[in-house]
Amino acid sequence: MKMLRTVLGLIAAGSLAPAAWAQQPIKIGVLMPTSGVLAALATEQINGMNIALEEFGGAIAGRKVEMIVEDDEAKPNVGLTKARKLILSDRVDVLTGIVGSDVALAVRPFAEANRVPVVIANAGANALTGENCSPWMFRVSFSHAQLVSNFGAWLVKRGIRRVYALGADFVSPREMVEAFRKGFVAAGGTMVGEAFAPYGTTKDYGPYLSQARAANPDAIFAVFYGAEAILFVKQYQSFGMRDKHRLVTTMGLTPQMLRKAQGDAAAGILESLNYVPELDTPANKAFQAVYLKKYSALGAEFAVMGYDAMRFILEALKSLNGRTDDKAAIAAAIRKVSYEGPRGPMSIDPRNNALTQNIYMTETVNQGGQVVFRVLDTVPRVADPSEGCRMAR
Amino acid sequence: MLLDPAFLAAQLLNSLQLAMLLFLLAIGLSVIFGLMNFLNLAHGTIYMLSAFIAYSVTQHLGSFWLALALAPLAGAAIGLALFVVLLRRVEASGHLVQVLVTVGVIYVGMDAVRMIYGDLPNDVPLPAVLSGTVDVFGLGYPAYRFFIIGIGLAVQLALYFALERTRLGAVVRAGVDDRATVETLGIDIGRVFRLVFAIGAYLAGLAGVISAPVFGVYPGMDVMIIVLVLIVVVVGGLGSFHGAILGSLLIGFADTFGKILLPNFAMMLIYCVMAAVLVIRPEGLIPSRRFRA
Repeated sequence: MKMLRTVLGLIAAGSLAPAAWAQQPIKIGVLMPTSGVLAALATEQINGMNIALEEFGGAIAGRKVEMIVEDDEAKPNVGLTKARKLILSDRVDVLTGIVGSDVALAVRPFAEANRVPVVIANAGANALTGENCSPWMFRVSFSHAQLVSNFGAWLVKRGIRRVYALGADFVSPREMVEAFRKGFVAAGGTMVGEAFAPYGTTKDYGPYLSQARAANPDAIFAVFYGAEAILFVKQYQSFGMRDKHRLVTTMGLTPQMLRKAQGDAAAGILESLNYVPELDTPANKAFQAVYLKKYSALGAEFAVMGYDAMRFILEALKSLNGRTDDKAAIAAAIRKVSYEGPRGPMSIDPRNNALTQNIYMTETVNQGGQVVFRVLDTVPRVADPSEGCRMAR
Repeated sequence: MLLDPAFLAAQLLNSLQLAMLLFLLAIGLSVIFGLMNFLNLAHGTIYMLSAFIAYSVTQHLGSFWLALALAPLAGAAIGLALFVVLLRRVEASGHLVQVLVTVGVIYVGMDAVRMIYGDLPNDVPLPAVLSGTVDVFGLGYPAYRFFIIGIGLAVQLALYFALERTRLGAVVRAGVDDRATVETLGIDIGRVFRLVFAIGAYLAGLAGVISAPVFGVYPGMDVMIIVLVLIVVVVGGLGSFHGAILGSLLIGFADTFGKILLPNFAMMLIYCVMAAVLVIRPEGLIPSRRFRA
């Protein structure tokens, strides 16, 4: 009898005492290239994450939420080492960030094996929600194909029928051009040529521009990033081709952070994007107001994608009442999150764990010396068209 | 496509423009090597620093022309200071030490501009007079690129006269060919070295300023260009004025036309040209007398 009471007492005590996980802070690992050429982009993403964290008061169901940032240097091997550290020694509950697609590919198997959900805040390679998709990995940024799949048809409607493609010679511009071509040709457009300039070593785009002009296209679809994007738009402007051969593009050519250096050369470009700071919605205005107050600047797409990555995680944890012991439950909860964010309606496509989002057809205009976006059309709730995802759950 | 005169003319001009920029950098590197047997990999750093100085001048004083006047002078001053304070001390230590020290200077220079200007690329706006286009066979070609070609040609002409028709030029040519004899004749070779180093740095600075509105201003621009410049020097032949002209033209044209005709081998073509030249003429196309086999 006494024995039975003791046993019952122990069981009762066990069920009443809070579980070990509930006494610890929730830990979110953030992989970001905080040094090197992508540092400015990484800072914006982390700023956005901080805003989401503050919206939730820095805690979920009474548990403090801690962000642990590690520099992945945009290198896959470094990213994997840092992911190991975050998962094995810091014991993070969720992993987010990741700018480089190669970093995401390197981290994926390890996170999967350790059953840690990953929420990608930037990396855009189609494969991450295509043939390399994973039930443990979510992408709330974009895929290259998602950004441009509707662009071609929209351009054809505006009378642009012949397009020449120019890009830096590496994976991301090539995927963008390929996805653009598909949509554009299907809508009746003609690709009149393409060229990819060696990445990181090309300084003079004159030869490429002269060649593109010789093919007499209605528009040039151009994909360049960073310093190369500045050189490209400025050299394009100096050749005086704007009137006859328009520039059309997607994310990366004229981001906010390059505006000062690009000046008027960034104006007059048609762009297919998943976000512009000028969106006239209550959710976006609220976000921009907070960002401006906290960081004295406009929050660009990178800030918003960082915000959304953190918000997806926090919304999921909130729906679980802060429970983090069952990682599969966290992944399942992330899959169910949906809300109206700065970018518009946000939800996860359960087929490939990719974000479904609005795509905005925009034009850059020079408004009194400041180049800003004007939204011309909205394609609502565009699913990620990446192919080849077979998800074993 | 190549038969279209407008297209061909534009590509010829693109090639010439690149060749002129490469020449401005290559001539200093080449003559310094020929004269002092010194391999100055930090030559590109002077190019970068001058471009940043030009950026600051246009930002604060609002004039590209002022930048064009001041930044190359600053480049010459930096080059001279670098030579007197640091490089002269390792002059006699052989190429390996020279390379180590000048690569160190490259890193210091890059981090210095990062600390002052940040990582993001900066822009020097085109001067208003040259921001338009010039009609070439019915198509517009940027006026500024003509300006670059013009400056390059003017410098080549000036250098030709300085080297061939002045006493200093004669001393420099003699110094490249046989330094010991020049010293025996009682000429202060140290003074000549400093002067040549300053002129080389001035021209690198000039290249930095005039390339800024087209190629931008950012940390790392020095390393990007110096590889091409080294190829020009090797192809043209060490220590030679004519070699630098021929080498920069050859690489300028190979790079530009490679991009159009063999887009998938654009990177490789200039290296193929270099390899071919090295096989046929290991000392370069027109080396100075001392480097002739």
